[in-house]
Amino acid sequence: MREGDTVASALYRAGQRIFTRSFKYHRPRGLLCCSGNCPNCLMNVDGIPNVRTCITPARAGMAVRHQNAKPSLDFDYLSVAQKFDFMMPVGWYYKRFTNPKMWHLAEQQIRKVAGLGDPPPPDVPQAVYEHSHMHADVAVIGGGLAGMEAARDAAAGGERVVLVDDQVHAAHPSEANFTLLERSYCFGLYEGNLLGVVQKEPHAQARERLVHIRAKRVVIATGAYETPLTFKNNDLPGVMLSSAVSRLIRRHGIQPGKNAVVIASEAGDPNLAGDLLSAGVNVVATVSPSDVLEAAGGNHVRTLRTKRGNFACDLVVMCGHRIPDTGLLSQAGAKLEWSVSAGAFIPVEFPPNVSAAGDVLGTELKAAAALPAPKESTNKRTFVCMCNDVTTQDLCDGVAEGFDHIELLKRYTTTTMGPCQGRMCQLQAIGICARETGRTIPETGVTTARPPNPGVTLGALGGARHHPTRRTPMHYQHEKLGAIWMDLGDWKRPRFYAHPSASNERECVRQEYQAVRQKAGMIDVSTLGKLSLKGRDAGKLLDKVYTNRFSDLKPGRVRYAVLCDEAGIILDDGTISRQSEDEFFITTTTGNLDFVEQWLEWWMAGAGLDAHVANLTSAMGAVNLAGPHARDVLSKLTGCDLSTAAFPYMACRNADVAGIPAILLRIGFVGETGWEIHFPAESGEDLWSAVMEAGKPFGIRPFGMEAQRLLRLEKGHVIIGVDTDALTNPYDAGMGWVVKHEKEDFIGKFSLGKLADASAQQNLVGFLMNSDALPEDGAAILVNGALAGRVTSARYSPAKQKPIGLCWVPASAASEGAAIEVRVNGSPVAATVTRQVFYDPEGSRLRM
Amino acid sequence: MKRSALHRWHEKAGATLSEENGWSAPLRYSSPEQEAGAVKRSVGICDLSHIHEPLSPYARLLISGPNARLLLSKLTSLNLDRNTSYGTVAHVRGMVLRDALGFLVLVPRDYAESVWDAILHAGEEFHITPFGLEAHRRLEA
Repeated sequence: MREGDTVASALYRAGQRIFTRSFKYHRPRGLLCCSGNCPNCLMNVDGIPNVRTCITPARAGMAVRHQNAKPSLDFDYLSVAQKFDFMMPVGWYYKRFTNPKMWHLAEQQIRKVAGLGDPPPPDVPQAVYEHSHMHADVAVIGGGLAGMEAARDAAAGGERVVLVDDQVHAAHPSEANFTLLERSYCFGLYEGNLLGVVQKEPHAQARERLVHIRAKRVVIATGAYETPLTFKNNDLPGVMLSSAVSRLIRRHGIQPGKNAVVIASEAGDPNLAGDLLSAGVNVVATVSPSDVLEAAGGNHVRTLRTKRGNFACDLVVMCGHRIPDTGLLSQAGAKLEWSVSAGAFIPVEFPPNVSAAGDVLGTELKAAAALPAPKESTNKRTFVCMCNDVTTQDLCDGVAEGFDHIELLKRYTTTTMGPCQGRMCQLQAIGICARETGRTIPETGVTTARPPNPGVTLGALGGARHHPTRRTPMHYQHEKLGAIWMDLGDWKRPRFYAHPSASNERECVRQEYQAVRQKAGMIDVSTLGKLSLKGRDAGKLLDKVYTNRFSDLKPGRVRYAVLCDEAGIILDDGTISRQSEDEFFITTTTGNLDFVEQWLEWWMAGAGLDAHVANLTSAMGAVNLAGPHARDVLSKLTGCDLSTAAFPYMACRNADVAGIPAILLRIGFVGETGWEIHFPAESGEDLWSAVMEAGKPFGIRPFGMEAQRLLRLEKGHVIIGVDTDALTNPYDAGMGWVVKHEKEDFIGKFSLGKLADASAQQNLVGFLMNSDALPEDGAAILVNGALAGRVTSARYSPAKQKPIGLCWVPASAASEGAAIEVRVNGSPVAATVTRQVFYDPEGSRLRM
Repeated sequence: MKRSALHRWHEKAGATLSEENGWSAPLRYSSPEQEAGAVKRSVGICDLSHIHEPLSPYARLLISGPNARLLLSKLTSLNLDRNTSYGTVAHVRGMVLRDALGFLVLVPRDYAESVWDAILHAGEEFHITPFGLEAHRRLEA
């Protein structure tokens, strides 16, 4: 290995000549283009498949493996496939496997035999991929002479320039407004001049970086590249493009062969002879493309047979067609036109803010050989598409079978559809299609260019793995208390707290439950959506959006709030408290905050109401302190009179708690006397600590989501989205009382009016198991042995000493005491419907 | 004491904390000279959440130094030439303000630690350093 070696050049220097085995016939393939265009050098490098080794810098210790060859590149027993090529004409599996069963069997075998590399196994250490973004006045793609000049001109004119090039540059631009992205290739030009660029190894820790460039103006200077000539066995290792030969000699100091035959027309590469001479390559003969008959040899070329005789050689240099690299221009919408003198399609019209410079314009190019190749060169060993092993014979057969449009021919034969995306084969395929259909090349046209080209790794598209996490202000206090976390959207919430006196989750939850029912408990409810609604029309807006009435809510009072859509479906619930005449404080469910905020804004604008919504969710933390001793705990920390006379159930007050300004709501989701306390997030730790400290003598315990779910279930409180679904209206859910039909107008009024008069088909009801069997959430409900509904929530109730739950049942089975069955562990178990809540049905504990 | 969302991070990183306007804020992690030097050479990040309006949902993170733009470009598609831009930073909705010392990233405080971690991770290639208020004052001077 030498300084500047690529993986492919280092292997070539070490004597390796076969780099891949072909897609279908497993023919040996060697270096062809040495510039990252063709599929012949794709290998697995450090576990990553399909790496273009001819443009990947070599490093000591790299693990390079061949693909699609068994057992080795030099001897691949699957190359026997060539012997059966008569069985595998173009489109052969459409023709052979007309029986679906047969295809099913064959498909598995074909997939093993054909194809490219395997995806990395899961145990390969995950490489680091990144994304980045750039905004520029000018983006220049291609850092050759023309591209560099365009970039320097733009920079000199004061524009902010980014130059994208696949090479490494010795000299770096020093201007501050000139950015050079090296080892980078542009794979797509999207709407609005958005360029997708992949940069290889942008720094030591990253394998690839996907750079999104947005540029006011794009200059395409991607140059031109050379494509192969067509003759029999033109794919043998040792048959190379002249640009590849020059690159091996000049850049890597490699002697590519000892005895070479050069295939060139008069327009051939003028520097080639000098390069070959300098590398000590003996040029046996120079022949015209039209004189070539075939290359011969086993695993490597040994003879070139021509009309002028046979030449023994170990290198055949093709001076192929040079064609402009117009992929990005086509994607941008540039118009291409056939140029006879260039022997290529060249860009003639450009969309606004896209231009081209240098060889990609095609004005300097000269056709290298007659196009299309003459009919007599048609056979099963003249390869047009190296990626997918498509031969001249296949293309002719395709046209003969009726696929006579270039886009159809492409799809039928898969030519231009491999890893090189038509770079090597498009021109020849168009030529053959034109010849076989009797049309001209311009009439035949080009296939559509689409990104990505060249291909992009999924890792680069995926980018860095970063999942945002939301933490409440008391996150680390929960951690210290032994919180076992659960994810709720982006939020982390304690499911329960691992307590030293409890051996398992069930016991922890039971203790937390008991603390709330008998002493005092506190739960972090900071994830609730919190909105402030201010303004003259605030009450009117709430009357419009929610089903119950809020304009008549007195300052200092709280009301339960349900929000429905036009069809009367429940979308969200929460509480709304009136803090002053024109200011309301709204809570929403954790998941629906964004929706409710937008919904309010939308209807405010729609109805022309004067109000303002502020989202306080991130600014404020919240806890719920509940239990028979909640008042004793809280009164130690606040001057606010907490007696029921001064602060009744469903009232709200603004007061300091532990010196922290807070909003107190006396509400009772868990069914005990309690306060929901909202406070500035930055004081969350202080408030939590103060309450825990004040609660110590009363046996206060923090409680998590699991205990909360059990506590509320005993109260029959519904969780929107858990107990309800996308078809639930308030009447089905047994919450008809939240709809105030006498209101002038509100969202869903019409539908809810209809629903109120109709009898519900399904009802959400409570159930009590007759035995100790605990159903899972979602378990089936059976009525008279037939499937009739489902459980939405079920827990073991300490208050009832039996499993309880909520479930959907048909209206006929929804009456108090109705016998139903719940499927537990696959067997129906008897249960009884109850319309009463399971704990404190009078709600006296809330009002104590 | 009022705490920024990054209070625990500062503690764990061994910061010397002090009180600023009733808030706990990181004065320094190592020495203000070293921190300011590292910022001037490459890039640093500073928690300025204590500069706070009442009931603001935002944490304020300052990214400063010659590599600040490159670093931020890895986390947002926003055009950083604008004085104020709204959009996502590290997948979190927020805003970026141009500041005399670099870029102020404002994100909801409940996401702040997640964004802070993402910035530190993306900044590894630049040897990013967290810096405290003392270094911030030096850089401002």
